[in-house]
Amino acid sequence: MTSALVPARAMTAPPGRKERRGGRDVADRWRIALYLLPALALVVLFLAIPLAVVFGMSTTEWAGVGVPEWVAFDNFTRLAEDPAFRTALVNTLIWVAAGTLVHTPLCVLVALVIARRPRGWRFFRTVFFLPNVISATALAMLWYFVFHVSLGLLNSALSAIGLESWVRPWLFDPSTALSATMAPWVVYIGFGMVLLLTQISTIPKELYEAAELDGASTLRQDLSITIPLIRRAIALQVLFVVGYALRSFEYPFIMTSGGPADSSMTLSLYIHRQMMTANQYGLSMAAGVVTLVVGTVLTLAVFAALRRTER
Amino acid sequence: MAGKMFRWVVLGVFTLITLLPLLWLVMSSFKSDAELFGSPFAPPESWSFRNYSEALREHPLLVFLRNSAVVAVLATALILIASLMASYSLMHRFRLSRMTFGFLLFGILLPVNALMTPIFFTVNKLGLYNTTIGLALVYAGLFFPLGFLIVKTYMDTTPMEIIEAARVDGASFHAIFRRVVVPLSMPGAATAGIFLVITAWNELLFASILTQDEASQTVQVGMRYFLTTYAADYPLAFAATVVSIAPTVVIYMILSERIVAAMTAGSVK
Amino acid sequence: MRRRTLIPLCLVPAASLGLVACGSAVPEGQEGDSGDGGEVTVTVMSNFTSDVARGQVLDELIAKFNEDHEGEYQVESAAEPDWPTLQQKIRSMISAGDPPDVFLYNYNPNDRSREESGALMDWSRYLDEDPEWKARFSPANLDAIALDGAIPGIPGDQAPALVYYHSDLLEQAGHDSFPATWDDFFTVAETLKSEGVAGLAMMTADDAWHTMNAFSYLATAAGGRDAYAPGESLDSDAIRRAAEDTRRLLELSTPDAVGGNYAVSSRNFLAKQALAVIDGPWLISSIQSDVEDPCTVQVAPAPTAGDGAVEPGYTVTDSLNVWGAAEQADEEKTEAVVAWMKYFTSNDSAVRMAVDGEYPLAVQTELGPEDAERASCQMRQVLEIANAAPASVVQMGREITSGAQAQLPSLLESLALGQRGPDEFAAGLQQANQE
Repeated sequence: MTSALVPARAMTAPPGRKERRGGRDVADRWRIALYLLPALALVVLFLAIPLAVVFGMSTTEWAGVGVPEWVAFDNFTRLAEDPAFRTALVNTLIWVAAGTLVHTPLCVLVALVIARRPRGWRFFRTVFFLPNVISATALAMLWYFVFHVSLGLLNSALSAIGLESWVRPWLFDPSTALSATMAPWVVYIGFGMVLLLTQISTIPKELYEAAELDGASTLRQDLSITIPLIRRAIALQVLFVVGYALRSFEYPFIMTSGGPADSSMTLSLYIHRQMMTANQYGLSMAAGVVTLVVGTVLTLAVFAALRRTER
Repeated sequence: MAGKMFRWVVLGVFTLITLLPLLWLVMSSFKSDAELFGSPFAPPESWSFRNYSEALREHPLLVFLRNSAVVAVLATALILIASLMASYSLMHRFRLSRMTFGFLLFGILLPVNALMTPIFFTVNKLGLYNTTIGLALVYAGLFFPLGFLIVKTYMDTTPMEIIEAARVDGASFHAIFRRVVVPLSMPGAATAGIFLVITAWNELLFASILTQDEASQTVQVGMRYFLTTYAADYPLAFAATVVSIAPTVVIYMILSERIVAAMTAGSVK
Repeated sequence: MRRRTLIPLCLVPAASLGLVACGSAVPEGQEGDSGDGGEVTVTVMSNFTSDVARGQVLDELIAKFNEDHEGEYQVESAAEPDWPTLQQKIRSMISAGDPPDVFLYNYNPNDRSREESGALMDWSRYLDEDPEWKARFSPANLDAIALDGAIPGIPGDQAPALVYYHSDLLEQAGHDSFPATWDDFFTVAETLKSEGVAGLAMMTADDAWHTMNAFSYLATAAGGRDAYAPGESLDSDAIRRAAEDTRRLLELSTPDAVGGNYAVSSRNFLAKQALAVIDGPWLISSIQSDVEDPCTVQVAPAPTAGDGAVEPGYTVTDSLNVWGAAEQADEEKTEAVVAWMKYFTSNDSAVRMAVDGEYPLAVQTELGPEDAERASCQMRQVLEIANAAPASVVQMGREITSGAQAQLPSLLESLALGQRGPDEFAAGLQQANQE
């Protein structure tokens, strides 16, 4: 499945050198293993083992200290019955959807514009990537003030242009809180743009020159040459979106704490809350297991979608 | 013509969205608390550095910045080395290569918050609690899949012919890695490196759990001294925020040409 | 309340990794605790950061202590500003078998897991050896902490939550003293609302501290001192009435009360956006530095219903915070820890904490005439009210299970937004408290 995105390339020895191949292969096998060691060590120590512990703990009730009590699948039943968890699950899927259907197209759009190198493109590229060098904590705090009910840039701007009726406590109105917490992430397109530009830069110039000769418009060229050729980078970008949506918690945590009334709750914030405030480690880990399952399903979906476009 | 207009509208809107809040932050960091709440959008009455000197006096922001830099650079270096080696290794097909690839990558989906407790135990048992090295190691583990994915994807665009040619010339397994694969993968590694430095720089949760005193805390943790203490003084917090983001922004401003050029123009074709 | 059978099993996954020892976690000999020259280092973990008054006093006390014990003991402060993060860290360290040397944690009768871990020092021996020291603590507090004959912690502080109000704003509304009944208070709040000033500064994020203080006073005003005592159902008339009144208070509060956190709410009070706030004495240092004429801020006991359900002047308090310490294998280090705690809870230290740190400790504190002179106008009132209080009740948010605590913001916000009525609020709270 993974090979759809990144084809594993076999390095085949050229024919006619059979006599040397045997010895070389054995030595190479050791070298291959040796080269894998650092990566395996990192993954085993900080991801695989902790993950195994998480799976184990998801079937226990534990307050963080003392002896965990084994409760089988009770935690999963409790999750299913908890409206806050259901909201968190749905909201996380909305994050993924917004990332895929709004954020990623915006990244593509800006990347296409920048790739055409309009006047000052270096400046714009630098500016758009800027938020990515700033901590999410700082950005979340900043956007808290953008949406602030009385101090906020947004409400002041709306009043200034005569849209007083739109003024509202964006972060504390259940109908807008979720969108408001997603907004900064959705509009900061810098990272996706750079990812896509990297791929666009590998497209041979001759393709465009040929299209130019055929009289194809810029738009036409983007649609029929660029986008199909960067679909793998787009898929990679969507994978990053899925990963980010599942793990990020700074924006909702700092801007709304998941409120009001849990309306901007996400899975990672739920995990955080169950652990940090409720001290229900088992429940928290069970939510982690669910997150992992959701992530796996979404990733498989991305690969499946990519495979379909490659046919 | 319409196309050109549209292009400028896109660039203009995104520039505004990106820069306006940041400019407001910088401006507000010079105000007094009363000014901020009285007239949030007016420029400050006087551009005094009072908030900055106070922020620097209250907590060792510079130590926090140094810790952040050490952790981010160390973690990134570890990940890049491990990723380059593993990606090279996986260019060779062997029996479990696909499975290995999947294993190295599965962490990209993990809600890492959930790993907090077990990782705390691990770090504690390694005797690395409250050290920048411990934090860097944890970051290297947590963010490895992100870096690996970028490096691997890029390395797979390396033309086989070049490697074959090197092999025919008698270059050893290690020499091909050092002299051919690594140089050709540099643009991918640069992208990954930037991404990783940023990710590590931005991380808050593990940094706050795994460090204990100001000598080992990162700037993300240090920032919270200004934000969560009783009765927050916002302009002071803004000044601290500006100090915390200034180094990366300045370095980025200076190097962005080289960084982004390497990423975008580093075509192997 | 919460059923918890303690099965004598190891933490299965963690134990399989050899990370956690079975049974009582006896701390192993830790790496170089005693520095060069045989000096013993003790780390004190709290939320007393050096930018708040109590943190400055702690730093000064530590400096003095280290000077007095130079070459012998060395105390260091490790302060974490965020209380939940601090508590999480302490839990993690205890379960890793390596608790901090000395640490401040919130006592919770519903969760004795930290005391039960077996990794904490038993203070009973040292308290019994020094009856004078033992007498400095209230027997009720020591009894609360005691577990199976051991005393696993030293009472730290238990802050009274009192009404702090702007007397000038109140005068403008035509009153010279703070209303004695909630009905009167609501009348004042309605008047002020029309002038754009909120009644009480409120918040719903995190532990909803300010709001839950008001809630606790309202619940006890309606249902007496035992309105939410452990074992009582929270799906009761008193809770329903308190919920309805809290909804009104939130309506009469600032527009950012719903979703706001402690910083937002206390800021609103300090900036005179709200007439009053119900808070602990740590607010005083902010009042002193941020309010133009600090002594216009007065302190009062909370209103009652006026029907005698509770004695006027009673107080709601924060949970008892306790100083725990790691069980030490090293006798010298144990001595250092005991010496530090005795010093920290001495009358001199307690006076300094109360007067300069605006943070009264849960020990007998006798202010000399000079100290009383130096104490802030509010601190004098706080001590007066606390001493005269006929009864005290722990704030409700501190007494419910941690699972219910985690749901408080959501419950309060849905109450404020009208998604839940007082009946559903009480039912929801009771359900959350059962888990």
